[in-house]
Amino acid sequence: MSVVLEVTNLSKRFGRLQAVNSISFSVEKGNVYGLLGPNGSGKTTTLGILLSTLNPSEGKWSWFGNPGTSSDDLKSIGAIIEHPNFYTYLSAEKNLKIVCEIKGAPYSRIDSVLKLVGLFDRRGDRFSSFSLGMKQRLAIASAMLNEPKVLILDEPTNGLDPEGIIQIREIIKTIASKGTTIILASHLLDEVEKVCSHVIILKKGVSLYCGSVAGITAKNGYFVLEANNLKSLKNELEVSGDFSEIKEDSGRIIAYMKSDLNASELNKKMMDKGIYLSHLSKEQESLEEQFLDLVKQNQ
Amino acid sequence: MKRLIRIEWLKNYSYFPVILFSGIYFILVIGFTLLCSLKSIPILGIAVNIRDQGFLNFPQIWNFLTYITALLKLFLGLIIVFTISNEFTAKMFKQNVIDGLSKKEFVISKVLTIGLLSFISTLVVFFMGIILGLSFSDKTGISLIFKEFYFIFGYFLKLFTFLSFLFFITVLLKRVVFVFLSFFIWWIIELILLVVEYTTKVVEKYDSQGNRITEIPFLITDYLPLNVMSNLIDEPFQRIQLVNKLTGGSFEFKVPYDAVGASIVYSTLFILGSYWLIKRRDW
Repeated sequence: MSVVLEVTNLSKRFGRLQAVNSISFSVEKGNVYGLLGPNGSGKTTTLGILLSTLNPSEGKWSWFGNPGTSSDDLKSIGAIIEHPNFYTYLSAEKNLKIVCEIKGAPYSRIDSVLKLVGLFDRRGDRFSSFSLGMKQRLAIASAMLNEPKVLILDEPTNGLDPEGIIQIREIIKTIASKGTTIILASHLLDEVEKVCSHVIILKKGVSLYCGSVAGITAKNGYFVLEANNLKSLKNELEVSGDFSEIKEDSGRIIAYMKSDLNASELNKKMMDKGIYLSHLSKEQESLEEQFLDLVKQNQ
Repeated sequence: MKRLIRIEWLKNYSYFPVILFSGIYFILVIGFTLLCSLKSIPILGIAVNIRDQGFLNFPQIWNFLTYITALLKLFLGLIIVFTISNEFTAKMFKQNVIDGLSKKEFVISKVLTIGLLSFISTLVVFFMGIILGLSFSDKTGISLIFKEFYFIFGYFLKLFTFLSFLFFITVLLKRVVFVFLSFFIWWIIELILLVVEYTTKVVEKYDSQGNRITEIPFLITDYLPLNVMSNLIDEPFQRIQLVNKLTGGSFEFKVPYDAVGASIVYSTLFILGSYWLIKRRDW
């Protein structure tokens, strides 16, 4: 798989604040990446550096194998950082014409990207008359003008109503299905879980994890168990040696597996020991739990 | 280059301040041309006849017209300040860069706009001069018409330097209010410095016949940007009085090479300085 973006030891300091602290990650072609992290974790700063609007304090990176960010690279990257920025006094169509000129895309692309985001009927209206959701969709349209190899979205659903959020997600999924690499920065974990195949987790400017969503969640599966005799159940589980951690939580036992176990096998095992389970479910930790775990570990 | 001009055109042609200030500018220029062609203009109750005073004679018409129309350069300055300030305050510069316009291309596109605006204004003044001169000049003739053609070039350079100056402070301060406030303050500072240097350095002497001689030594304040710009085109009234004297006084025009050189240096510094600021800053 070819590498679209490779970041090595990138740092950015604003006066006394270390906004990004020596982060490294790489982005492979065709995947949808979630750049995760709480507010102030350095997501936007990192993207700002990679898009050449901020000067890095230290570190190296390369787009498509070329070191740094050239304006030619930027022409094949579609990016939306923070708010959608357009000339407020111009219509959607005229704004896109300017972007076409900058990116070197033909004007004929304008109609098709406006249709993609459902703004074709409003193309002649001034940008200032658009709602936030429409502005955000126009920004996506603008980013898609040059059929980008990579699409970067920074908090694309921030401040939108539920309908707007769903629209944006649908658009992202449509774009992703065409094989465009996407980097989606967000602090909304369920959003990332819904659309991303890979995650990069940042915290206070440090990268904690970079890899597939499946990779991060497969590490820890767990069972939720109930029985009449919780104590002996817990005992048996501990004796079996299959679990790394066993805890009691409001009348249930939660047991974290060392390696993958079959639920029916566990059931049979317990039955053989004379313990009858009244509840048995095998669960995966959600991205949110994983994320919180990771963040806690690194405190 | 064509691409950058197209981008600038798309950005600006329907921007309200651009329409407003270029409208005012052209109405004033055309109005002034018509005013010059009148037989008498009432100024403060006195009927002044520009034609009879010799203002419209070749070659001094160039001096007169470029001096007067240059007073209107503020309106062109407003166009530059408003459009460039909007690029920064509306975060459009940042968006342009993200979209793939390099910082260098951004600066070049603004320099092209400044150059084009100065060029159009110069062309307008040129045609004003040709029309008014051919209609009202006492004498015409190719060599006389183009004798002091320096003023056309000087006018272009004056506008270009002025607009580059505003470009630089707009990049530096970003907001329209700050730009004009600081421009005004800078103007006053230059005036004060000029007065101070003039009163301390210039000596008045009397020669053996008791005639007063004013010795003007090298003045540093002559090389401050706004003074350089104003030295590019000297005021035309003294020379016209001189030529008008019944005694048949004559006037020999000299090109102010110092001011021309300094203007070119300043424009270059302002443009490079803007580029340096844009490159160095975090956006």
